[in-house]
Parts: sequence; C-alpha cells; structure tokens
Amino acid sequence: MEKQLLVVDDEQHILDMYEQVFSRAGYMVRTAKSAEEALELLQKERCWVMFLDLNLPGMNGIELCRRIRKDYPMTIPYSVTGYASLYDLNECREAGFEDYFVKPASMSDMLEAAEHAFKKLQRWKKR
Amino acid sequence: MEKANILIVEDENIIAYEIKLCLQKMGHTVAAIVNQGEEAIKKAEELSPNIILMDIQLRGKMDGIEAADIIQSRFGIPVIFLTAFHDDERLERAKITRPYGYVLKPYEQRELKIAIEMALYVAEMEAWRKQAEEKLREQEKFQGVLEMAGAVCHELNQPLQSASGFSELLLLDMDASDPNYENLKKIKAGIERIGELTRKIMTITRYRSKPYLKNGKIIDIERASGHEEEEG
Repeated sequence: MEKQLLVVDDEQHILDMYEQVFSRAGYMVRTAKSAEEALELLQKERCWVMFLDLNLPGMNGIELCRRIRKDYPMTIPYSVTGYASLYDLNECREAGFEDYFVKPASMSDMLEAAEHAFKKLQRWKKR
Repeated sequence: MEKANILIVEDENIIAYEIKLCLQKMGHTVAAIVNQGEEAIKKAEELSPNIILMDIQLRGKMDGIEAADIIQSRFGIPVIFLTAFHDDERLERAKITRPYGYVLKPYEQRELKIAIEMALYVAEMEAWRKQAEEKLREQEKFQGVLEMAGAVCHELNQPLQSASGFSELLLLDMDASDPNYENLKKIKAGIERIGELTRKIMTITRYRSKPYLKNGKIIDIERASGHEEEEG
C-alpha cells in the first residue's frame, strides 16, 4: 500500500511544515487548503490517512470528516484543532475521527499516529 | 424591628424635637436635625443616615421636594415626606422624587413607625437588587473577556503549530554536537510553554482572580482552569 496521506489546513505555513515532516518520515503528502479542495482531490487520488483542521473556511472539518467517512469508510482521519472548546472530543468521534490533536500538536505524536494508522490499514488489508 | 439612624429635616423646632423623641422611643437614633434644604443635602452626605424624614416646607429657598430629589439622585438615601401638605400639585412633584413614604401631619406614632419600617425594608431590597445586578454585570464583563481570550488563543495556536513543527523538524536533522542545538531546544521549549498557556486559557470555564498591584485583580490562569478541583 502506498503510504499517502492528506493534510488539510487553511494556513500555508502549517501545510509546508506538515509536508516536510511527513515527507522526511517517508510518506507521500497531499495538501488542501479547504474542505472543498480536499474532496476534489480525493476524487482523483486515494489517501488512506488524513489530518484535518477543524476550523476551515466554508465547510468545517467535522462535516468534511463525515463526508469522507461516508464515501471512503476505510479512511483513518485525525482532527487537529486550535480551538479545543469549540469542537469537543465527543463530536469528533461521532463524526468519525480516529483521534484528536490540539494545536500546537507535537509532530512526534502526529507521526506516531500516522504510523499506527498505516499499521492498522495493513492488518485490515491482510484479512 | 430594625434600628435606623435618621436625619430629621423640619423647619419648626418644636415639631422637630417631638419627632426626635418619638423616634428615640421607637429605638432609632437621630443623626441630626436641620431646617433647610441645602443643609439637609450637606448632612445627608456627611452622615449618610439610613432614612431621612423630610418636611416639604423649609426655611431658605429650597423646599423639601427639591432637596429630596437631589439627595435621592446623589446619595440614594431613602426619603419619607412628613408634611401637612396634601394638595395634588405638591403630591405630583413629590412623586417624581420616588419617596419611600408620605406621612401626613399631624401624624400618629404608629403611622410613622410603619412608614419607617417599610422604607427600611424596601431600601434593603433595593440595595440587594443593585448588588446582584452589579455582580451580574461584572460576570458578563468577565465572560466577554474570557471569550475574547479564547479567540485570541485560537489565532495564536496557528502560528504556534508551524513554529513548533518546524523546530521539531530542525532538531531531528541537527546533530546534538551542533552549537545551535541547545539554542534550538530552548526555542522549542519556549513555544511549548506558550502552547501550554493557550491550552489552559482555552479550558477556562470559570475564572478565579488573584490580587494584582494595589487594588486590582487579574484572572489567575494557573488556578482558573476548568479541569481543576473546586477548592473547599
């Protein structure tokens, strides 16, 4: 399985950082600056693991996650939020998020999450 | 019955004295006796009595209604009119000053007693209501400040995310013997500390304050976090 992941955030600096950190760890990284852009991208490319910002212009990250989980149920999405009180863990779990990171999130934690997600996908694939 | 300190405003000395005895018999104290409106305002400010018994006809230019109006608006001290006047015109004027009572002369001791008791009760309720309102206003103000702080934190977390990620990335690629390694670690520690702070501020659900400078108070972020146990 190709280790391709998607990161969605409306700030270019953050996307640049994700791209560098995850590439360095051997992942193929796709980026999108909005939910709409992400959905468009997913129609062309398959991403199995994703990190979604919740506060996005237009459709928010919760709604995006619902859509993705509906269309691609095997995807493992993680939420990354700067506003912990706005969306709580319950809401994220209900929308289909695997886990929840509060900004500023440690990249080693996020790398660990990505690794864990791909291990899980491998196991599912063997079934 | 509650005991009160009462200011008597009366232009006839004999009547004033009689009222004084009557009040003392009820167990109240008399703060002072004055016979002019201007003097009444001065004493009201100086002595802050619990109640003012105000005659309408006074010596000098100012009458009791005018004096009561000024006292009510400046100091909020309850005024009971004690007067022989009961014409509609004066009653209308007196009404506007929001008196706590209106007792006609010649009065019965019992009437005066009831009027004072009622006025004290209403004044107490009024003070309590004002206090509650003030408290609510303060809470609303603080709530607004907290919400704004939360919004600011969100904005801070955006640049913090890229700064902390990039510093992490640089550390991964840097050899520990590099002269910049320790400095970079300090930068990262600083970013983490700011991150901890924004996290704490965002979880504040009720505030605690701590003394600040002389009389001021500021929000105590360390103790205000909503996750902490309520202290007994």
